[in-house]
Amino acid sequence: MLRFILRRLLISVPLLFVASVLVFTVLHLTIDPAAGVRVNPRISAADVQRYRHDLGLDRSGPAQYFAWLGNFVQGKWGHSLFSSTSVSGEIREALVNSMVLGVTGFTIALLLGVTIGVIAAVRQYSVFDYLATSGAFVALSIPVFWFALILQLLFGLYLVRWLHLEQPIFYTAGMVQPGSVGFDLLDRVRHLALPAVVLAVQLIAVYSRYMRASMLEVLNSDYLRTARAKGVRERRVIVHHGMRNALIPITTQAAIDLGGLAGGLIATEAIFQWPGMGALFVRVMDNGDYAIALPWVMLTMAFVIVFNLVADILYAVLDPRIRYA
Amino acid sequence: MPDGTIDHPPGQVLSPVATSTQAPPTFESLGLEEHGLSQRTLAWRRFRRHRLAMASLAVLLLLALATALAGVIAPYGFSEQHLEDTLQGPGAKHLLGTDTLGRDEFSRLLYGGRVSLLVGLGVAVSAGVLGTLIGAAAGFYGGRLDNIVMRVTDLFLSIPLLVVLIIASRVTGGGTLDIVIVLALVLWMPLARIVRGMFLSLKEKEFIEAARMIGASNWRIIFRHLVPNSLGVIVVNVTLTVALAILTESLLSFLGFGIQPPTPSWGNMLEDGRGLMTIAGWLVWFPGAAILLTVLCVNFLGDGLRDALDPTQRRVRA
Amino acid sequence: MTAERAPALPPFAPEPAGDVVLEVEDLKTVFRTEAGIVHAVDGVSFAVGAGEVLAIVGESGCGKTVTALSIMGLIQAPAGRITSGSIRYRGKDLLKIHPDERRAIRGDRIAMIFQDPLTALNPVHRVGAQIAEQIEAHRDVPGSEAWNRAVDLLKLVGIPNAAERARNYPHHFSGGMRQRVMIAMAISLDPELLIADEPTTALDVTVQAQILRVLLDVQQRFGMAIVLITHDLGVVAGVADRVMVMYAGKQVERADVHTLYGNPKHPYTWGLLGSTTRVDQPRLDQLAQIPGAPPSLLAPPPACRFAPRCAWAQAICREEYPELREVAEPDHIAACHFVDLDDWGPGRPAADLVRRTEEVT
Repeated sequence: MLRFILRRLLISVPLLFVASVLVFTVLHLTIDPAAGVRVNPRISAADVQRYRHDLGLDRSGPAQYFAWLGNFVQGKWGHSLFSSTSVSGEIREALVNSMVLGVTGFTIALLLGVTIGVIAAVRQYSVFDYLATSGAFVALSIPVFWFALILQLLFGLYLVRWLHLEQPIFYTAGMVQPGSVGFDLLDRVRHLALPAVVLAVQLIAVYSRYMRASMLEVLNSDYLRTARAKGVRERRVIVHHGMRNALIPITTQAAIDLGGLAGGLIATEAIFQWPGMGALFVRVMDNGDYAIALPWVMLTMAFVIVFNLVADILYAVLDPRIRYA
Repeated sequence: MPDGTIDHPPGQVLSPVATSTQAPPTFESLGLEEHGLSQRTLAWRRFRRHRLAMASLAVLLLLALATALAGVIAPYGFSEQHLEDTLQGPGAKHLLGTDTLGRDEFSRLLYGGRVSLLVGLGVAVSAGVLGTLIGAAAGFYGGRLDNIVMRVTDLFLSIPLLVVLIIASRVTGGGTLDIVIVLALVLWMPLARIVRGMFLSLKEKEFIEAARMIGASNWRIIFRHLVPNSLGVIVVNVTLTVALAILTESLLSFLGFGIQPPTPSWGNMLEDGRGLMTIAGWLVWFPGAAILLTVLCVNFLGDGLRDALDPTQRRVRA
Repeated sequence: MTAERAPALPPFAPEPAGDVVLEVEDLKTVFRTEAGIVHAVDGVSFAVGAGEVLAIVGESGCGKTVTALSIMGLIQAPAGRITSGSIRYRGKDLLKIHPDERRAIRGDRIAMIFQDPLTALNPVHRVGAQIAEQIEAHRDVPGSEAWNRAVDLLKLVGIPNAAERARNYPHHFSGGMRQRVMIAMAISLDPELLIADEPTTALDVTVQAQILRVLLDVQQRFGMAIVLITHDLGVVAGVADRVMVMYAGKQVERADVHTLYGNPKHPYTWGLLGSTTRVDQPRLDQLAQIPGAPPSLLAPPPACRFAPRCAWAQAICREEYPELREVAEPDHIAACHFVDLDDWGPGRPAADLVRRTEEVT
């Protein structure tokens, strides 16, 4: 098992390297970080030159890349190209914010999704099952940003109007009230609610369907029939035999999804102006700040790779038929 | 991953949307038999019974027709400005209202639909062909080729979908064809892996061994045996890719990285309308509802196709 | 015609047996499917005495497994339903008692083993734990004691290194070993009746004999009755005391094993016997087949269900259902209009029968 893990990690390193080269190339070819400066008529050409030299932009592409790479692997992520903020600081802050949103939405979705899926399977073809299925279909088909906009309209406009509220129940933008200091839990929750719901809804649709299908397969399995034939109590049959097996595919999928949270919230954060990794990414793609963009990509990839590995390990732990050499 | 891009490969996400499973005795064990019908007839029959899928197919055909004939049906051009009628709600003169420049929403919806549907279909077909060919080759020949394919797809599937698309969109323009190419170049990968998996497992089955024994050539094995047996899975996944492509294109356009104005797409119409949504809600309701309806129908269709075609799924409606 | 036929018996034909463990009377089980209602078991009656081995034979789809599942109470609603009849365990009608009481009996007094031991065992739990689970479901004993008993049971059914192997998972065992585990599990609480649904079908021929030996050994040791469901007549000959033949959801013949093999009275039984090789008979160039296929159970015909495939079928066979009737020997019943004819047996030419029936009418 240990060798398996090491081998996987080793293979990932070249992947990360290749990805960084690709991203750098695209950015280098398509964005000129000095553009903002260049078009400013009050800055002389000589100054522009100096600016570019300071940022190291007058070197060749590969030279810039390897200079960056050299620093990167030593852990020196340096500063943003445009401001004096440290790259690691910016990314860390954004990551924390994204994780707060992501983990909240994810947890809600997992708990609800699994529950709904199990009930739908045990009461197959019932009204509940029908509603759950329809709901999942709609949730999977609805454009997430549209859904988010509707929520914003609802909470930010209609409810305020109809209920004559001073403030919306749940806020529609940002992570905290502008200008606030300190940590106010209630305020945070009111800001977190809507984006978390938007995230959760998509995941619930997937998890409930997975759980339902998995549970149905297990409910019709031979070993469940054997368990009943043994005279085991129905509750234990469902939990100890049914769910124990049905949860396996979900667990691995959930682990994979967790890995995707780092970089997967771009649209949600854009709509709700949540200052997370997604917002950071959009910003640096606009201005070409590869000092941030490259570590960003590497970090999100690393997340995905590590959690995919976790998923595989979990699978082996949960299912004794799978054991890696 | 979340965000409407839903990085789950198309087949994987909606495979749980199976609507039924087996009851203990099968048709065969109970002594019932289907009287000598071909697979295709059986599949068609099963599909016909799925009324929702049939209805969805009808709706989609209607939509396709309407948007294809946009030039004929639409009362106005998609950039035609009527500055005297800006920000009108739905009414007699402009069926679904107008935007800040007085452009007719209904017409824009039709033309935008044409773009969105074209993208969806174009991406699905090209990604489908590409993914099937590459996946089949990788699965069948194995070895070096398979390794390369797996590594490349590993790379791109480790990066969140939207990230890849946004980065790629920097290199291209914002035209319809550009977006189709970008999306197809990414979305072929999940399908390729699925096809590869299918070919890998089918390759080991006895009927392939038997075919080899009687001297069938590789080509024959691929086209007479492996492809027909994978066709069901492929068709289902391609259909679901349509849904994914439409959703992804609209998301990209909404974020400003996809179809660029003045070409309307449902996605960028939503972006246009977003800022004014508090006073001109119709600019947001209609494009979004259009996307929802289309994708919903495609998903129902995919589900019906899966019921009809996917042999790995067992179904008996009690 | 009437002179030729024995009077039909009512559905329930009790055998004079000593200690009766199980009595099934006019059991009817149906399934709702897309195509309609399938009458899987359509009025079956029999009894099982203590310590005896009753074999139920028939081809796939004849209803033998469904009968077993009905007895165990494992018919899945809402698709499946027992519509009528009674299943009496030591006098208590299992279909009328409270589900909890039924569950208490299931696994404790009446146990079942299934055809495919790979899918019948939960792949994620250890084998010892699965056996212990059955014990703990019915007896209030500490986990360690249940585990120890599980190990003992594994030893009993002939698994070497039982203490170690109890910690293994099902996929670590071969097919035959897995079936032994199933047997160990089923007998863990010393049941009075063990239902074995095709226990050897999924196994290699050489292993089949071993498993049957284990079954018999266990049966003698614990004195339990066995209902052995199979389509393999070779297995039946070696193991059964009495045999019941089923076809298309109905019982068509029942007798003790020697009588059935020596003097079968139903054309279907002849077909079954004729399609196996027998050591005591000259070698056949070609195994006899029964042409055709079983009828659809969706809307069973009112007449003899075997008639379409029967070489001796007459007009009456297609008009009137032949109820089970007694044949000359005690405890031998068959569902055919002509059982009372002299030398009614395999090898009797069909033309002869036509002539005889024409004579009478």
